[in-house]
Amino acid sequence: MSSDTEVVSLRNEIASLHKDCRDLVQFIVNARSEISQIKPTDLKKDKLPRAGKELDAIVQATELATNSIMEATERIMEAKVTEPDVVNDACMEIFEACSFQDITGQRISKVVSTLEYIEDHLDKLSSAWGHEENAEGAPTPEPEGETALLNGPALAGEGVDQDYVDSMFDEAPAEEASSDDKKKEKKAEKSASEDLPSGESINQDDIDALFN
Amino acid sequence: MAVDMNMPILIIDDYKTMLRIIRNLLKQLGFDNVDEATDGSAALAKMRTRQYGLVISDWNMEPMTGYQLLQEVRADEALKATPFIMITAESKTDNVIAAKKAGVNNYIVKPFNAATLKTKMAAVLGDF
Repeated sequence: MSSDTEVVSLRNEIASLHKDCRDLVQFIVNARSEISQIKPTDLKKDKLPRAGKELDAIVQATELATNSIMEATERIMEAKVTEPDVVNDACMEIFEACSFQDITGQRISKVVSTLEYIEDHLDKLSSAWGHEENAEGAPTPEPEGETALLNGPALAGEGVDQDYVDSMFDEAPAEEASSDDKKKEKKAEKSASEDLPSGESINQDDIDALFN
Repeated sequence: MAVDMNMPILIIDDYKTMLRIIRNLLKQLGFDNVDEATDGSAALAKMRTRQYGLVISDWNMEPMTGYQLLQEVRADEALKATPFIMITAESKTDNVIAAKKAGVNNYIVKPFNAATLKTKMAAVLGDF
């Protein structure tokens, strides 16, 4: 191979390498832009903790409901009835079904752990890319219209209770409401606007086989 | 030998709902003498003050798990003969094998029903 050919070949290789480097830089720029769109601080400070609270609220609500069902069932079992066997069998089935609360509680706890893991790693990702606490990209647009009103059930301490709703209908028209009422309404509106964003398992028969 | 229907039974679960369910199922099966604990260490303390005819324990609890409780019970000369049934959502083969190696008498996977509980209790205690 002549030296001219070698030079041309070398130039081509350098040009190719140069293009690869530019592509790589562009890829990193794009990746950085995409990561900034994730808004890790927003997720970490607002959406993930909110999701965790919602799940905790589910556990509490199912526990309360389950206890109410069981209390009612216990009263039925204690009562004098004409067909005690039928009632007892039905009550046993209710108790068995109530164990869903324990299972769902455990499953939700696992989801909460996953959320905490994601939160932790988003924090690390955010730090690695040099994001500062308040240096977010474009702010998340506030929901408008009916979307702003559709946020599902409020958590404990948020929103208003039925007594307050009743009082809003019992008292003066809305435009004459006291400033205290207006504050409560604003609090309710604010809460309503918060966006929500080793081995194989085996069945009881398999386990029985291990003990037989 | 007939099963003593008045024998004290200790049930252990960190979910109060589950304790209530098991207590009621036991009541329906004819066992009224039931104590409760919400983790292994509380259960162990109770077991050292009272002799139980049967222990029914969950696995996943803090600070002491049901598996650790089982190991403690089997290592204690005064408690080692106590019948021990695990009722848990942990349904992997490894869990069952570990529990069996540690000396569990039977193992029930949640969710379970009264019939399953009765069958496993009969397998451990004898028919009742």
